[in-house]
Amino acid sequence: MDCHLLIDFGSTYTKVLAVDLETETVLGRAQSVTTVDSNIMIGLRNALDILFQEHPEMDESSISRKIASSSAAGGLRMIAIGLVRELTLEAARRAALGAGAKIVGSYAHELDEESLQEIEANPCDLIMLSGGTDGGNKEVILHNAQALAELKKDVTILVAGNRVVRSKIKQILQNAGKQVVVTENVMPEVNEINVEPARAAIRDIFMERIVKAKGLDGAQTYVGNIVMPTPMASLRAAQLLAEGTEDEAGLGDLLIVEIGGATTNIHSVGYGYPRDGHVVLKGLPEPLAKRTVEGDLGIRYNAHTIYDLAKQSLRDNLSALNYPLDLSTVEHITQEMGVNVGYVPDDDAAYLLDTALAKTAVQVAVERHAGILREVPGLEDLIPVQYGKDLTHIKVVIGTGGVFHYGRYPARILAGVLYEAHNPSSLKPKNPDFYVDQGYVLYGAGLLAGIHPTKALRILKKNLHQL
Amino acid sequence: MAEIDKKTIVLGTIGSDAHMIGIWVIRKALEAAGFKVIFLGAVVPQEEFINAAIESNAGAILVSSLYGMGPIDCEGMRQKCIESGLSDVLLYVGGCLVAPAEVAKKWQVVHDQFIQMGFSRVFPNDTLPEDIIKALNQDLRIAE
Amino acid sequence: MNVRCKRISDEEFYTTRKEVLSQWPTGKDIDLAESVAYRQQFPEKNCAVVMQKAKENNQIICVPQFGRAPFEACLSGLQYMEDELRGFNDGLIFNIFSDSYTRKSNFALAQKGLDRSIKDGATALNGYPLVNYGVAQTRKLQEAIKTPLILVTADEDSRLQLEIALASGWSGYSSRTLTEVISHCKNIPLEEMIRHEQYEDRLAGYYNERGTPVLSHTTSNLTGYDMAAFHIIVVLTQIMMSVEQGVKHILWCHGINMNLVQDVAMMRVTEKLADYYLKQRGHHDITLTSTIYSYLGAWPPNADAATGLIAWNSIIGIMAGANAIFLKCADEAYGTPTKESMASATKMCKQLIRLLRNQTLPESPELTLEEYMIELEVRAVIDKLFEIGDGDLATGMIKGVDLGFLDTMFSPWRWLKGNVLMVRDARGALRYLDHGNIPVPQEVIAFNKEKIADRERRDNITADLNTLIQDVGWASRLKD
Repeated sequence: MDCHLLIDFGSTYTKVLAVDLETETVLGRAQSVTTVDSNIMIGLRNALDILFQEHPEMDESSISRKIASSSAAGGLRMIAIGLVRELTLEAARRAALGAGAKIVGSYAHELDEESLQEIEANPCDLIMLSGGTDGGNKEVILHNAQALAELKKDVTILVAGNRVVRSKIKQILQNAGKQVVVTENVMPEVNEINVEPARAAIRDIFMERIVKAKGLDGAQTYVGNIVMPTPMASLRAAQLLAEGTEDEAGLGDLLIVEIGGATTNIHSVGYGYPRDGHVVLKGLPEPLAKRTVEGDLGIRYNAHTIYDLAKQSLRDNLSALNYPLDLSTVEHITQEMGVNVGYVPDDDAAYLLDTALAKTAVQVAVERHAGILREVPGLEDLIPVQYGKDLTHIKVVIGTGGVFHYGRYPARILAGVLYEAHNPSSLKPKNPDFYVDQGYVLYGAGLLAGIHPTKALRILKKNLHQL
Repeated sequence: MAEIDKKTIVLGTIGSDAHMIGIWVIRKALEAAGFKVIFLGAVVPQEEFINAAIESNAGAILVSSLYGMGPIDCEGMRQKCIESGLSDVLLYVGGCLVAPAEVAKKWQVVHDQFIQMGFSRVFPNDTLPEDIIKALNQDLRIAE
Repeated sequence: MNVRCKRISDEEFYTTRKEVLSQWPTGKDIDLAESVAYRQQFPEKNCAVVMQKAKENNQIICVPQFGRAPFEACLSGLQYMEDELRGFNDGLIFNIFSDSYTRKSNFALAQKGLDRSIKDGATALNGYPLVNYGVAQTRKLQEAIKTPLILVTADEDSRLQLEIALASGWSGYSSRTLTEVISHCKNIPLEEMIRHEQYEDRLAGYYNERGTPVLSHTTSNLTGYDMAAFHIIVVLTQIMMSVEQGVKHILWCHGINMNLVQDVAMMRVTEKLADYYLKQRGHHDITLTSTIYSYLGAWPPNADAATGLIAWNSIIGIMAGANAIFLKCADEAYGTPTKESMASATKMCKQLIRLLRNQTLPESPELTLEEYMIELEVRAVIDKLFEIGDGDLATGMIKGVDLGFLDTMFSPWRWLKGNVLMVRDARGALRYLDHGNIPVPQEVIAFNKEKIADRERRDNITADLNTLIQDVGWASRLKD
């Protein structure tokens, strides 16, 4: 047995996943409430105790290696600053999301007094400053660097903009006593994104500074390094699953749906280029592995927002499930969910409501994530123009997260990803197969992928349950 | 006002890209003449030209308009440039601005219409790349 | 898993097959075993057999093209051509093309067009929608005529079309990875196109292995303005990829540039190197035949002038020793080929075959030099592809595109670097003005420069972009 322990310090729960690399199987899993306020190790110890209790054949000595991710203590909070909203700001946002960050503020063009005050007051772990192609606009990013130099709070600034002025910017910020990291421009040329260096830099900053700043370093003696934010682990796993390795086939382009209490996240792997040669592809190119986070679609904290935002869809979904109660009761219950952190469904109606909420959240989230197809008038006909990814050909859709773990109608929930004939401009999957990551193995595979990609892939594939 | 990069040119087509060759040739010619070309391809809305020009500090925006759709698509572009802080950027327009049969008859009218809209220069369909380069060098005051 | 130049596994083939067949309801009617049995009923009415016989008997096959939406119109067009072209000992193959919607896998719109065609009695589609018609109906087409049919299509994904065509008794298709992406596609990554083509080749291999041969028409039709060596590289890489899937009968094809010496040299070098590379890779049982496709650059918008081009293209093919000639017709500039116009063009070609049979272009120092230079360049690039691919051709091709080792002009494909510039020399042959990143040997670069210098002297110009623009229209200009 070659047992590796894959740990996640989640925002609510600390999870442990024990895998055996020799047999490429999951040995066991457990979780306990995350204890970041006191001592992070307490939650981990509790989880390990449960694990070893349920699996007496395992103990501390059987573990040959530990790897950990974290989204504890609010996760990785970032503010993104760029020049044009649709260009460098968007590129910066994509870099941040792909690194597992939570974007708590976005600013385009020159920062004014009011924006700076907002940034000062907004608790964040990292500010990402971009703007201007390499050799392009300098004025705005320089202006913004000067503005950030005036911030009183101590926060790391990642500079990922116009190469020509980055030394100057570093100097300006360092002279003001700010922590600065410089990386490659997220958009070196118009319509050319370059997010990997920024993602790597964010990961490094996370490991070196943020982990300590959040009191997570207490775990490092036991765990070794906390190597990445949790969402980055999931995205890594998604990419591994899609692409495969030299020795193990991947599943091809795929979509992962992650429904949580606070957010609903969508990961797509695949370029999503138009299939039809007549379609003109426009807009900033999307990264191969794309992650979107919808902070207003968590099915607990935002149950009521979902109700408000997508009432018709929710109503349709409830009625398709033969939900017994009326809409005003639903309104009341969803309001309650937002404040009752410990809510769990306890009867059939409650499970149905969760299913409907989850499906609605998925519908909205995937629509936001997927590309769109518009028709622009040409000389004699309409020219089809695509923005974003064409997901219509995706064959693999995977659900992960609590509602798939404890819930009852996973296929119904995942049906929310599907293409709808009455809304043909939203390029959602037309005919995929549905799977569930029942054992919450995804993040673990992402962590393991760094050292044993083929084994991580095989373990993940074994734990995907096709619906 | 931001200092522009005289040698950076934004190039694109408003309208479909049925014939690549024309704009391909202009791009090659500009690059051979030492310009940096930000090539946006076809079906480019005004905002995309302008955003690209902002990020890259371009000295000129070259709009190729095909099949007589010009005036409708180009309307308001100079105003948007001004709003975006690009009041000094050169705006050139060219291509098949009106149907070929009409060119001889209506050219002066069409030309003036585009100048009124705020374009710096208006080029007819049979323009050679070197004419465009000459104009750019002159207008951007680049020494030959 | 990354694509490789090797036979795809049965598992991958059959899994992909399920997906392909589900693209339209007619897909479920296809039964491979039954199709094999059906095809075995007419072993002679087969493109591969016809080409084999032609080569053995020193015949030249004419391949006119046709396609209509109402079934009756399509059939009557083919029958008309068969009647008109009777009494000529050399054989025929008919090239049927599918319509644009079918090519784009938009079977729903093809259905609409088909329904309208049937209602109005006139074709509303610019080709035969074989997927919508399905196997049972499409079989009737081949059954009603004596001439074997080859499917010619384009764009990214023709797998379902091929399934239908082969199950319906047609016996040829176009095998076209690089040539397709370069001439027609915008966004599809090469890796994906390779997968599509490997499937098609594998399907052909399936039928080959069960005694019902399929002809793989391996083309280099490209943009119309491509260097001879590049044409050859496209064809040879495809041949090498295809044979791994079980393809046995290859009709390789070049879109010609219309300089006699350069085109003949291109054909001869292809024949030599195809043989060389196949033997080197252990394939000794592949039947190779050759053909030409008409000039793919701009054509004159005038029927008489176009007829001149058709004649010239055919002559070049004959003098190059091609085993078949693919034909265009004079009114193609205005619309889809009519049966009359196609029959006309074919008759003209047949007359030329009668006159020119056995008059291949004689050896000459000019021809030898051209062959030498072309071969040098082809070998250099192919060797490079194997090198960067660590011995795997598919990997080499993908990296080759990325690095600009595989490159040409005017392609709509976003992944091609497009750093190559070409102009015509004093005799109309294409020469590099700029070879981009292609690893062209020094000797060849010098040769190209020399040839351009000749033209510059003759015309008193400096060859530049303006020259290139002029040369684009060299065949389509009606005035000097």
